[in-house]
Amino acid sequence: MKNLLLLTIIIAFGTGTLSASEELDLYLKNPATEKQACVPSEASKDGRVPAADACDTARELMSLNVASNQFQGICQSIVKNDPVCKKLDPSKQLTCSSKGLNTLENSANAQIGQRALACIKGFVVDSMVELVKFLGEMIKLLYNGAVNNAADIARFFYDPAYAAQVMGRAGSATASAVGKGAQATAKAAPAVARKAGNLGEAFIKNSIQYVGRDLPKSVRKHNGNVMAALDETLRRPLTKFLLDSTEAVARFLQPEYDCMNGVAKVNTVCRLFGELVMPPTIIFAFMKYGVNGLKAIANTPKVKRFRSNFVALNGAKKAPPAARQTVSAPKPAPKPAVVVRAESAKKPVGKMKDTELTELARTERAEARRIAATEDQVKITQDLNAKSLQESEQILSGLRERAVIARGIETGKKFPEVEDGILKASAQNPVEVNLSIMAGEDVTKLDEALRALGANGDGFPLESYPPQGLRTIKITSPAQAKKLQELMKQHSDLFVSAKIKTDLPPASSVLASIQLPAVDNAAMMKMMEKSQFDTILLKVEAEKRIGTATALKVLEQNGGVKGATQTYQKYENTFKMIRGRSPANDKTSEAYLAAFIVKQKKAGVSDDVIKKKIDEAFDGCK
Amino acid sequence: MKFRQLSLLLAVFLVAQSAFALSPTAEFEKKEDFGEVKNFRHSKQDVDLSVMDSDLKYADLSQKNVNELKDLFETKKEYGKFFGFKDWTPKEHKLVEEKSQRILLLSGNYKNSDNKTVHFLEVYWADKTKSGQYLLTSDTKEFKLDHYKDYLKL
Repeated sequence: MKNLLLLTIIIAFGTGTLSASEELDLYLKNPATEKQACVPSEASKDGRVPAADACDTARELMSLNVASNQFQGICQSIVKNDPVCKKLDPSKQLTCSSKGLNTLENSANAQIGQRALACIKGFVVDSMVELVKFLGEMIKLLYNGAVNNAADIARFFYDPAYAAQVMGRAGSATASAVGKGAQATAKAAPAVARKAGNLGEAFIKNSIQYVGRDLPKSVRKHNGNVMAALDETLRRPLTKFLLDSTEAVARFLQPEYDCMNGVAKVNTVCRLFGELVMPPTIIFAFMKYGVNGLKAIANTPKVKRFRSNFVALNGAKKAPPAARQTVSAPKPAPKPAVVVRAESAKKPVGKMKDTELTELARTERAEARRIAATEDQVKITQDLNAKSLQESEQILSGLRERAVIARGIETGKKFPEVEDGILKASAQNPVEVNLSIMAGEDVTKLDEALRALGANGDGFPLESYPPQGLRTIKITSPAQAKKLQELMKQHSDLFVSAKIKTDLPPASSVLASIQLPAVDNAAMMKMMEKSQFDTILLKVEAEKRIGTATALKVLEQNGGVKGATQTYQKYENTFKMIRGRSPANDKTSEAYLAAFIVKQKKAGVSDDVIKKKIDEAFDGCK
Repeated sequence: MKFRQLSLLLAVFLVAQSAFALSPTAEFEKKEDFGEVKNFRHSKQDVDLSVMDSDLKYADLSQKNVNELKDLFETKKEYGKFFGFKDWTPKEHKLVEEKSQRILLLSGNYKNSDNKTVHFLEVYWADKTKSGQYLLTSDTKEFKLDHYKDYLKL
C-alpha cells in the first residue's frame, strides 16, 4: 500500500495533470499499467528501443531488468524526452552507459554506496529521540540488546568492525545461543503486541521461529560462521531498509530524483540529511506514517525551501507553477497538532515564518537554560555530594510525600503552550541540531558564518557534506572569494587546519577550493554522545520542563553526558511518573530523583534494585 | 470398584491427559535446535516444522483477541523483513474450538532471504493446562488451514 501511495504521489509530482486521488483510482483500475509500459519491445536496427514502447519514466527504467544495450537506448531516449529528466542539469542526469552507476545500493562505484551509508549514519544520529528509540528497539530485538544508544546505533551501521563485534556478541558460539537471546528480547520488545494480549506477544514472538528455520541453513552456507549468517539475514536487510526509506523521502521531495545518476543521487541523499534543516521531521514522518506522513508535511515552509534549495544546488530548471501546484494539491497545509501561542509573538507557531520559529526556539531554550542553572541545581548537586546513601533514601521518601500532596492538586497538562510546535521549531534549527552534531562546535560556527555570508541567504554550497574526512567549499565568483577572505580574517581561529587548493585546472569555473579539517572517528563518537544528550536536553528545554532539565544536569555532572543519557533513558518512565505526580511548575522533584539514582548507583546498587525501591516508595500513591 | 481405586484411575487419566500436547507426527525427523525453537523436517512432504513453548492460555485464544490480532499483521510484515521473511502475507485464518482445546490457524506466504516464496501455516494451540506454537513451512506446497492435522497430533 505504501508503494502504491508513493507511486501516486510521484505521478502527481511528475505530470501535474491529475489529482492524487484520480491517479490512485486510475492505478487501481489498471494496476499493471506501470509494468506493462516498461516491457522493452524489439530493438530497432541501431539497438535503441523507442521510449514510447518501453519505459516512459526513469523510475520505470531503473526498476526494469534489461540488457545493457537496451538500457542504454531506453535511457538516452528518456533523458532526452522525459519532461521530468529535462529539468535536470545534464551533469546530474542518468548515466546511460551503465545502470549500476545510477544506483546507491550495490553501485558500480563502491564509493557511492559507502558515502550514502555514511550520510544515513548522519541521519540516524541527527534524528529525534523517538527515532533513536525505534531503531534501538529494533536492534535490541534483533541483536539481544547489544546496542542501546544513538551513537552505538550509528556506529553499528557505518563501522563494520563494531557491527561485527555486536553481532559476535549476539551470535557467540552457536546459533542456538543466538536463538535463545533473540527469543528473550522478542518477547520483551514489541509493546505493540500487548494490544492483543498474550496472543499478540506470541504472534510477534513467533518471528523467532522464522529466523530459527532459515538461520541454521544460512550458517551452514557460511561454513558454520554464525556472524556471517546474521550479517546476511539480519543486518543487511535493516541497512537496506534505511537506505530505501531515505531514497523514498528523496523521491518524494524531488521528482527528478529517479532521473539522477549515482553521484547526483548520493549528493541528494547527503544534502537531504546534511543541508536540509529538518531531517528528523521528514524522516520520522515517513517512518511513522509512510507516504501519508510526507503528504502531511508537503506544504510546510521547510519542505518548500528544501525543494527550491535543491533545485538551485542541482542545476535543475524550475518547474512550471501549474505542475508545482499539483504537487502540493492533495491536502491543505496541516495545522500543528497543538496550536501554540508564543509568549512573545502571540501568534500560532503553525503560522510563523521559519526565521520566527528559529528565533522563538532560541529564546525558549535560552530562557529554559537560564532557569535550569539557578540555585536549585547548585543546591541539589551540593546536597547530593554531601549526603550519605542512607540520607539519599530520605530524598525518595520526601518525593513520595510530595507526590501524595500533588495528587490532590493534579492539574493535567502543565505546559500546554509548549507542545510540538516549539519542539519542532527547535529541531529545525540547523545550528543546534544538525551541524554541531556532524562537525563539532568550531566547524559549526564556521558553517554558520559561511551561510550568513552567502548571497540570498544560501551561503556557500558545501560540496562534500557531511561525511567524515575533508569537506570542500568551492568558490566560484570573485565576490565569494572576497567574502571568504574577510571571513578568514575575522575567524582566523576556525581556519587553523583549512587550506586553499590552488591546483585547480585553468579552465575551471571554480576559483578556489577550501578544505576544512577532517573529523576523526573517535572525536566524532564523542560528539555523537554529546549530541544525543543535547537532543534530549533540547527537547526537554523546549518543552519548558525545567525540572527534567535540572535532573539531566545533575546526571550529567555525575556521570558525564554518556552516563547521563543512559541513566535518563533507563529511568525515563520513572521521571515521567514523578513529573506527573509533582505540583505544576515544580522544578526540583525530578532533580531529587536524579540525585537519588546517582547516589544509589555510586553505592553499587543495581538498576533493578533502585527501580524496585522507587516502585515500593510510590506504591501507596497508586 | 472401590472409591479409592476410582480416584487413582481418575488421577492417572488426568496425568496422562496433561502429558500430551500437540506434537509432530512420526514422519518428522529431528533437526538442529535454534535456542528454544525445535526444528523438524518431513522430507517426503517437503515440510519444515518449528515448535516452541508458549505462554498462551486457553482464554487468550478468544475471537476478540483474534480480531485484535489482525491489527498486528502489518507490524509483523514490517518486522519480518528484518528477520529474513519479507513480504509476509497472511491469506486465511480461523479459530477452531474443539473439546477442551482452542487452535488459531493462520496461513500465507513470504519471501525468504534468497527471495524465494515460502508457504507457511502458523498454529497457536492451548488447552486448559498447556500451550504451544508451531510453524509449518514449505518451499513447494501451499497449506490449507486444515492441513495442520496431517502434521500435528495430540
